[in-house]
Amino acid sequence: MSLEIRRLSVQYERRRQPPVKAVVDVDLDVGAGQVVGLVGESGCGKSTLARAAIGLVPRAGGEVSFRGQDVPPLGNGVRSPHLQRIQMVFQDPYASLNPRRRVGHQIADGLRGRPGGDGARTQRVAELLEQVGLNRSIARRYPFEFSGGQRQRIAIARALATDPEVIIADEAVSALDASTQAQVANLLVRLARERDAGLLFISHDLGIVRHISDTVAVMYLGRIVEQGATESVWEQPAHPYTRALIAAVPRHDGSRLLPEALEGEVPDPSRPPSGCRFHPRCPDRIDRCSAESPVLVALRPSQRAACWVTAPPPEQPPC
Amino acid sequence: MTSLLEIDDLRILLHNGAEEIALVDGVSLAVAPGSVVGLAGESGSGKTLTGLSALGFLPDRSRATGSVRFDGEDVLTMRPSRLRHMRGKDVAVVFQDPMTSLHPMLTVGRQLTEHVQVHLGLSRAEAKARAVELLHTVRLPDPEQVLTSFPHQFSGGMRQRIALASALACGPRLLIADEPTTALDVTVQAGILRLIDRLRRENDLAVLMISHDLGVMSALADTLHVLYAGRVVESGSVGGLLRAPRHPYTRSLLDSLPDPDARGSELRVIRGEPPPPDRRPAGCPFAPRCSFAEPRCSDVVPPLESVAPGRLAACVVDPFADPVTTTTFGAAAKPGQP
Repeated sequence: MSLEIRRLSVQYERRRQPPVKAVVDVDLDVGAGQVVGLVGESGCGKSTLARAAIGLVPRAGGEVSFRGQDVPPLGNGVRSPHLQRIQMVFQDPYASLNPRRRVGHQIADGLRGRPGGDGARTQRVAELLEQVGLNRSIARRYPFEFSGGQRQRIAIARALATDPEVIIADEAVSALDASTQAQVANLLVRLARERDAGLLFISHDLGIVRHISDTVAVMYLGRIVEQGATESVWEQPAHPYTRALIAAVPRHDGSRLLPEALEGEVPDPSRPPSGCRFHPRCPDRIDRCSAESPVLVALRPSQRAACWVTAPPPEQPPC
Repeated sequence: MTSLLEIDDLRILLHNGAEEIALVDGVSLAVAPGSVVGLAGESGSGKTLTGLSALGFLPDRSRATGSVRFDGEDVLTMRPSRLRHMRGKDVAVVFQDPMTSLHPMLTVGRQLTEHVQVHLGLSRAEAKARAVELLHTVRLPDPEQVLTSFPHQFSGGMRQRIALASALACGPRLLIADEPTTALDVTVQAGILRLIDRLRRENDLAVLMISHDLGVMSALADTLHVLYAGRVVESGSVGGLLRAPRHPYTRSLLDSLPDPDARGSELRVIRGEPPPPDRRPAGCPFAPRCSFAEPRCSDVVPPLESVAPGRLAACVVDPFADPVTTTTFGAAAKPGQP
């Protein structure tokens, strides 16, 4: 596995208030050439998980390793060079590019320390721009000259400069228009496959995640409640939350069906509900759900879910 | 049923030095009480400008031709005092980001009672009772508590419910909903869509729904107008239009949406991007991106014509005229160059 996340927890401390446990005990792997989708409502901890995976936020527990080496949280020191091979593409290409530097210079940042002089660097920047479907001549221009979709391509070219083995795309297509969304999502997947890099694709858009991901993880209030092969999770969702998410996606087939609403609100993560964090909104809850937190149980080789009702753990044989 | 809002051949022209740029170029539509009319299109297509024209709002340095009639009165030539009354009472609007319509430093209670006191002449006690009733309507739990809270204390979905409550406060007859669920999670979106659907059925509310999301349109709208580069390229009843689109743009918009049966393959894309208003091509504005374009497409702007009962489309090629050809579209349109 390129990226291995084990029992990761992240917690935001607050003054005179209980800490917010944004990510709790998460296990997630991203393998070479694999597209892993991560879905969940806003505030469920998707972005915090992504940031902790690349070391942008400190962790409260657990391990993150990239190619077998620990990913330490970002500090004041120089980052170990091997961590350059894990890169991130952010949601807002208006905020993630420096408005005052030429596009080419920003892409070339990732080439520092590589052998070769200025000529080789310029050549490499041109190649990267062409790989993301832009003209090599734009290297001398500034970000404001481009549309949202083009900026996101520039941000992707910058991420590619270090020849990454894992790309984390945090809502990288969410701010784009429908037709541009598909273009950028295709580009990310194609680049990942061509380079045999892993892609962690985080999105609240279930349609796109379903379309491009090999495996998918569903997060609710800091925990992964279901994960597995995309096909399997979508065809036979086990967790009531996954079912609710799928039922809430409007169909665009002209069938005039109103999507199903999930009642209630995502609870305050600083005071999560006892037991299963989803139980106050769950239509299938039983007494046990408010008392004990369920663990992920394998339902079939390709799918695991954490639910006392739909994925009960096998009986322990008496010793 | 007679229409409450009638927009006829609306053009919104922006002064740009010596020339004028048509941001909206000949849009016509009608919204009847109790019905939801959808305006779909990408950013820059003119859908929001068209929607806001129903409130008499135009961009700076622009003028409008054609007519926008609300209940028979032309909004574009309305006196300012009448316009103000109409905006407060008869026509309401909700935006994508509820914080654009909620004041961050005033309590929800103040924001829900102020305009009903002004427009409906209610006393403070009556206004408060009305506010509680509104919060019940939009299904916000614990209305008394909500009234004394500030907008930042709520989640995005709850804020959008508060914005809707505020929009509904004076009993509007027309609601302009500009991407009301775009910033929300699907689970929350479903609740808001159901709420709008209930309001149109129970209160006979006319709704002009602006969204780029064809799934939202499919769930809620009765009639759909698809905008591209300031023009309506196709319109008709939502079911028929989404099941068998006639215009290549509508078709490729639908094709670019993730298809459950084609999992793992590349998403189909429309090559290129929509042209900015000052660089729209001659002839059909979609021609440069269209897989079916012929030389004649760049000669004249195709008129919006009736192509089937209840269906208008603006395409001289009309490649989907025969329903059989629609099934072979996938083979004809290879994923475009990004």
